[in-house]
Amino acid sequence: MKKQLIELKVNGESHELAVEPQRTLLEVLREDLGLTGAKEACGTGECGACTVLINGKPILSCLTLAIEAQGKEITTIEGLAKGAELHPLQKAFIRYGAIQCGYCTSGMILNAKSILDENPKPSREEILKGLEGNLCRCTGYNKILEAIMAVSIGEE
Amino acid sequence: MRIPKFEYFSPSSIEEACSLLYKYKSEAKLLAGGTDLFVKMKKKELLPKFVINLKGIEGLDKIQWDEKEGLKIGPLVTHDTIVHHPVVREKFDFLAEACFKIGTRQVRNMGTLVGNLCNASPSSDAAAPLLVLETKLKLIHLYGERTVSLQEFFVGPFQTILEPQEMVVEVWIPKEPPQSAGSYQYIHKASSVGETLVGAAVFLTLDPKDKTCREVRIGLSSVAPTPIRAKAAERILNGKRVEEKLIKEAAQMASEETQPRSRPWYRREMSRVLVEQAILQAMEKIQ
Amino acid sequence: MEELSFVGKSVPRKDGMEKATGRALYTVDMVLPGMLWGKILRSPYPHAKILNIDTSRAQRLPGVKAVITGKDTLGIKHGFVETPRYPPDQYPLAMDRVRYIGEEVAAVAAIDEYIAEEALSLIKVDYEELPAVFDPEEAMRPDAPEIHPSHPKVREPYKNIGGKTETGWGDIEKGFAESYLVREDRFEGQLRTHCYMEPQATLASYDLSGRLNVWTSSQGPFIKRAKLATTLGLPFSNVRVLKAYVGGAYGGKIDLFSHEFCASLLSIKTGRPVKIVWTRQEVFEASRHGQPIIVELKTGVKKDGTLLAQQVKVINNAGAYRGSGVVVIFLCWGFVMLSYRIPNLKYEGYSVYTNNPVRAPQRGHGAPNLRFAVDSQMDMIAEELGIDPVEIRLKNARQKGEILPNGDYVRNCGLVECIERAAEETQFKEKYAKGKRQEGQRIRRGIGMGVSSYFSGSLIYPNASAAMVKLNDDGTVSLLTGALDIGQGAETILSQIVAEELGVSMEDIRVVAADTETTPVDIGSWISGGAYVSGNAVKMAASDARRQLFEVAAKELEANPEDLIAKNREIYVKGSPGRSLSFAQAVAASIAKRRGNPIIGQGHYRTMKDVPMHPSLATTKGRWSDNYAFDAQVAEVEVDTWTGQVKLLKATTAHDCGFPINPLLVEGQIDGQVSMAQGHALWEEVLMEKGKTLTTSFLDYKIPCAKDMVESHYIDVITEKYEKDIPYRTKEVGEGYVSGMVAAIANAVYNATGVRVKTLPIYPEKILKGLKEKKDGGK
Repeated sequence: MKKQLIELKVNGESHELAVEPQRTLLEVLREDLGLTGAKEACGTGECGACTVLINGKPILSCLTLAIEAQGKEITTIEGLAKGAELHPLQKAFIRYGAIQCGYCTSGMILNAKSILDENPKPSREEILKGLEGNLCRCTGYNKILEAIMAVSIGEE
Repeated sequence: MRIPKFEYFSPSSIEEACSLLYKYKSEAKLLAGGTDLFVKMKKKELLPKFVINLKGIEGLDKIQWDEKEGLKIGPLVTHDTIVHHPVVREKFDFLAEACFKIGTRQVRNMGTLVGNLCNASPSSDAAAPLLVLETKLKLIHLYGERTVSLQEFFVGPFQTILEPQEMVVEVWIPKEPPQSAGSYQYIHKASSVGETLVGAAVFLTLDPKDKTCREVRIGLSSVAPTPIRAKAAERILNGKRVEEKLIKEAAQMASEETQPRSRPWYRREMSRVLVEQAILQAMEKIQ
Repeated sequence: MEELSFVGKSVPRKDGMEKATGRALYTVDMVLPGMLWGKILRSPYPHAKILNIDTSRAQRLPGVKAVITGKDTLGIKHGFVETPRYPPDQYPLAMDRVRYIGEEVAAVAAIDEYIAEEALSLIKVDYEELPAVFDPEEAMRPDAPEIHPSHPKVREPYKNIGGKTETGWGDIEKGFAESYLVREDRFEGQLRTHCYMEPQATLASYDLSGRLNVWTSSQGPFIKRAKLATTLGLPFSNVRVLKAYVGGAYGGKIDLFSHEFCASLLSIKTGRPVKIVWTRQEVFEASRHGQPIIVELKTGVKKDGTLLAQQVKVINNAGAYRGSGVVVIFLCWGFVMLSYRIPNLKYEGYSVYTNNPVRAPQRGHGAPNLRFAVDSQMDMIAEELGIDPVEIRLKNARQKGEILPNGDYVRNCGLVECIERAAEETQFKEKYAKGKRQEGQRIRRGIGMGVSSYFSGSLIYPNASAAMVKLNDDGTVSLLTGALDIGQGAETILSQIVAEELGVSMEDIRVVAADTETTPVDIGSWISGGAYVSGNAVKMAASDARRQLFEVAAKELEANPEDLIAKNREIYVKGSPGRSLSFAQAVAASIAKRRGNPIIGQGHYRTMKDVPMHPSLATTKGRWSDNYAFDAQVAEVEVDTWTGQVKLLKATTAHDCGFPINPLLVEGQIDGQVSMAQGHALWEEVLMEKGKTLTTSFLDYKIPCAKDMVESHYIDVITEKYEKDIPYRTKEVGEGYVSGMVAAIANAVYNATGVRVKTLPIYPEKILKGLKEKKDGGK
């Protein structure tokens, strides 16, 4: 299958790439752009580790073709911090012990960001329901919830 | 897990899409959200030579309400859109609830209602509510179109009535009768994420003064090869005064109309429990 | 405990920044120039002879750079344990037989994964199917198909016994004869799996000078190096296993895996780096899941609930090779005898071969199944005697100062306090009483308790940990440790110890870790000895560095080394804070002004120094561990008696972990284990049929998601302390809190419904059927 020339806007930067149509956004981010923050833990849409934001909405990059992502604003975990200044969620995750092995962290933080962007003061239930698609095997989700609640009440 | 290779088309009009479908038929698959298609392709359950992306076509993501006709939902409308749409929430709130159950937040942003129906999983959460709303689908191909009821549309597990050259362009939910309400109750397979073990939808039209059931429609998913209507159960209640004994009878009958393949005992029990709960909740909403 | 600045504090993780910004590199993220992709061909049959393998078409496919089968290997076996009694029994690539669906038969390296997969389909393997057996009790029967010959030391006429553990003391018959009540029950644990988010992955790179560099998702580099080198026929020093971040392991990434061997051999053959990453489907279908264990328990007690005699038979479904099965049947004995005093015991454990994928330790390594059995039965006994479940546990609980039947001395033990405080804080007695009075209610609440104990560090290759602390002349410190952070926070707590000993800040410490070439040996993150063994090695290295530094500083300050204190990046004279110099100045002085000693502190630690090796797996004779951790956990559940669904509302963990080096990290460990216990007790099961895995994705195999989050409470029972200049004793926190919680949940469900479930998981059907039986039985 012939490669197509596409332009992807990732974290505010434009990249011109030649990709085959079946290549997912996840693969292209990780393998062509070296942005390995987004991970594959299942490849079939259940784990959420590949979550990135497209026009601010959390989507699964492992089920999105790179060609489909053209013309959209893609945000990955690498684009969250402003230089050396971490995003409040990143700070809170570190402070509240919400990170253990770290594999789910990128997707979890991005999805959490989208939840707070939609509703700055969500209830516990709303946060937990919003995160149902991000699996974590290490933390039991307790400290993840704490970190997000802390940001929502303006602690960070 | 990599997606197997394919040739890609991104038509800019419905005609172009239909033309491609007509040309390639079973060798092609339509791409809407991708949450079912790409999973099946990665698992090698589907290996289309051609993938036709519908997302480049304008106007397919509309929801329209007409006072006479009812609600019309386009093929690219996502679950998330339905969950938050004011008309759906007002008139068919249990459909919005059912769509809120589907998948995860990410999947709901990507997946489409039509895609979900075309996937025809016996456990689709949207199916039972749509069945009890007497939903119709508009199918088109390059040379014609037809309208089928949702019940006709499902033919078997993951099988629909769609011909290889056909596509669904509209989900049509007729306007709701007065003094009616619906309810969707479900049980998960295990923990909170994942497939529904049993889904029960009830749409009730009730005279609130004397509690006469003018019409009841009972739908069940994940208990048979396709989502079903429990017609015998409906007959028990139709036209009668709704009281506890009758509700339990209807719920019991509904559970007997199921044909669950795995965990049959539990699924039948839960069908009974959930249908009862759904009838009661629908009644409450009307009063 | 003296006033400490870092140890005992909830310091944020050292690797938090890297992980929160997506910069942490896991094995799956790594790339090297010229890298090839590898894929594994797996057996489709549960038991078959390999008659012939034809790889010629695969080799000719453009883009394929190498294809290997068993013939290309040295035919050297490996095993989880390698002792004279249990020699290694598994080839890295099958030679003439396959014994489970998924067993590795061939491997391919190609320029991309598509070509590698196509190449697999071009490999032609001729199999001759053999009869297969999947259930362990069936496999033990004399007429069962033979997977391997039974262990020669096993006297019974059982087939397919990979290993047996047999031990006891006292007079079991007399014990039962004197018992007021004797109960016999059988409990079955299901097959469940780790579900680490990062799949199995390895990147191997062989350079033509003869050195193999390997990054692999593991639980410790030294054991991987040893087994890779042995099976590849390379000297240990030619194999370097380097650090990669690990996306979870929980016991499933310890021993040598075929794909690690294959990636290495493929790299040797092609002269290029080779990366193999499993799909999640492969992980479900062919990786090593947790051991499913059957426990048959016969227990005799006095009228007041004191344990008199216990007879235990454990059957482990080991899978097609010995694996860690012979370890788990030994450990199950330990998990029986640790928590409660048992005057008369008879224990038998069998690890049975079946034609299933090999099983692995899974967080608790037998304890969850064992404590589920023992503590469920404890509750049943308590009920029959009319005794309160808390009382019966207090009556039998291990206490400080006791000598365990194997000779280990219980130097400290907070179990009694754990039970008492857990019961008090959860208002156990009232809720338990209330739980029994809910007849007729749809939604019922229940409370239950489970008790568990765990060893903290034992002897298994390499037996010891060592560390180096290198002082830099800008005041920073480099910690060289072989310890691997698999998420539990190893690098953080070890840095806390260095910071405490040297009086520097956490930011001043750079950790160089888990590299078999540059960092000293370490026992690995799978033997529950991270904090105790590796921690003490680091403590010793840091205090060694401090001692050397004080010698120099003493001269600079014209004081005695004994009068110096290191704190806040300064070294000052006790009582004269004005006489001080900065840490950086002291180090610089040593290098530039004094004898030129750059100051490298060394430390090492071995648990049980007076014992040559781990206890006998077969007889349990020998010292097992220096420290034992104890816990009592309480589960509060809500059961919908119409649907049978159980919700775990609240989990309380009272634990004696010695002392927590980092309380925040310990809480995280508790939360994670509560979550795993929730899945283990309520939902998780890998379903198999005739050796074929049916649950192949997270859609089929449910692990807890965010909506299932359990309210988690912690009660710390402190029984140890940390002091300068002497080794400290602390206990493990990473594995023991699954087991008590599983038992607690089962007991809570009984309290709520009166339904006793003896096989896990507690499917809703079991509750509904149990309730129905009770109703019908009552008529």
